[in-house]
Amino acid sequence: MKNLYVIVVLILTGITTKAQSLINQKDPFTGKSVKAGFVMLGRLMAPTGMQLGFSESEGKKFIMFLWTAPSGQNGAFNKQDPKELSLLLKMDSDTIIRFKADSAASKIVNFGRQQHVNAGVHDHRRTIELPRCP
Amino acid sequence: MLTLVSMITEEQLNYLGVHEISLLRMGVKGDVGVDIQNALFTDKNKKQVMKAAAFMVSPK
Repeated sequence: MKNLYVIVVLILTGITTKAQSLINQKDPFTGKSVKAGFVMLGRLMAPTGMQLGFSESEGKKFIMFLWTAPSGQNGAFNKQDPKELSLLLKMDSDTIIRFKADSAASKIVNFGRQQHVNAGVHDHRRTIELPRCP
Repeated sequence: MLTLVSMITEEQLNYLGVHEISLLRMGVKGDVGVDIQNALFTDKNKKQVMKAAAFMVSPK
C-alpha cells in the first residue's frame, strides 16, 4: 500500500505539470526517494486525461496507465472486474508486452462521485497475437 | 477514474527504452479492449515514453 501512496502522489504531480515529467527526488513528507517518468498522452495544451508512465518505489518498478474518464457508477467500466484489465503494448518489433491486473491488489474504490480502479498486477511477458478490437 | 498499475522488470524497461510502442491497448477482457488512437497516443508521446523508460534504468 505504501507503493500505491507514492504512485498517487506522482499521478497528481504529473497532472499539474507539463506534458512529460521526469522526477528523481526525495519525497518531502516520507523522506523516501522517488523516481518516475510520466507522459501526458495527446497534444500539448489539449489534455486527454490519459497518462502513461513509470515509477520506482522501495526498489520496485511499476508501469502505470491513468485514465480520468468516468469509470464508476455511470462510467464505461461500471461493472468491470479490475482483475480482468490489462495493458497491452505492441512494439515496433512486433513483440507484445502484456501487463495483467490479476493480483489480489486489484480493486475498485469509491471516491466521491466517481470510482477509482486500482489495478495492482503481476508482470509477465510473452508474445501473442492480438485479435482485432470489435 | 481508472488507474492500472503493474510491476515492471528492469529488462522490460531496458527494452522500452530502445523500442518504440506502435500500439497501446487497454485490455478489458483478455486481449480484447480499447485501443488508444494515434490522436491521443502521438508519435511524440511514443518517443517521450522511450525517454521515460530509459530514464528509469539510468543510474541518475
